[in-house]
Amino acid sequence: MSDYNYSVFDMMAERPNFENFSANLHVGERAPDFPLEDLDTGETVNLKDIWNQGVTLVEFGSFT
Amino acid sequence: MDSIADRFADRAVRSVFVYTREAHPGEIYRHHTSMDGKRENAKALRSVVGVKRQILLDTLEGDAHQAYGCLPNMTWIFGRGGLILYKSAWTDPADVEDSLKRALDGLERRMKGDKLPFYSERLSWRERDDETFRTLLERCGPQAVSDFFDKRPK
Repeated sequence: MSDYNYSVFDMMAERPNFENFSANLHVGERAPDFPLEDLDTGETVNLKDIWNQGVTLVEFGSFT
Repeated sequence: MDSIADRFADRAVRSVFVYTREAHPGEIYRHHTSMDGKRENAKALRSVVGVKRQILLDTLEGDAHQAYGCLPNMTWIFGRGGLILYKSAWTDPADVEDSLKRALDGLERRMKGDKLPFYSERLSWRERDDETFRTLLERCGPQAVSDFFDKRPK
């Protein structure tokens, strides 16, 4: 099991993600597609099926 | 952000929330060890926070989250075909709305043939409010508060 789902927040461990954010996936490039699960229906939704309908605003986050 | 979603829906903008790992797990809202656990925490976005947008769960290992930068609260704007129009390390509604308006106006003007896109970067600023953030962490559990406030560099 990876440490992606950490049980203890460590600010210093997260710092490289902030430092590297500007280095990958730039404005003007094509975004990668991923399958996601709709919370309400349980159905699989691909990101590309949403953005192929038009401009799409995506916020990433969690309850905490 | 729900407000932005509502106001821009008539310009055919789709707005979704991608649910990632717990940024600040605690005793009450714990880190995910299964998709069932992830679903339960995600439901709190609706029941406690009142998020109305479509909520999409990433995989347990955060495949999409990691590919997009693995930050706790990013916002991205995509054009048709997945063209990246905006990427932000944090979600600041004012910054997002300004960028969304510019993107929509630019796309419309481009279709008319009198505007061309160009690349730019800018540094943005967000509010720092430790008191409000502490209150939000308290609902996650005492460990969430301690892990952030007691252990951050002075």
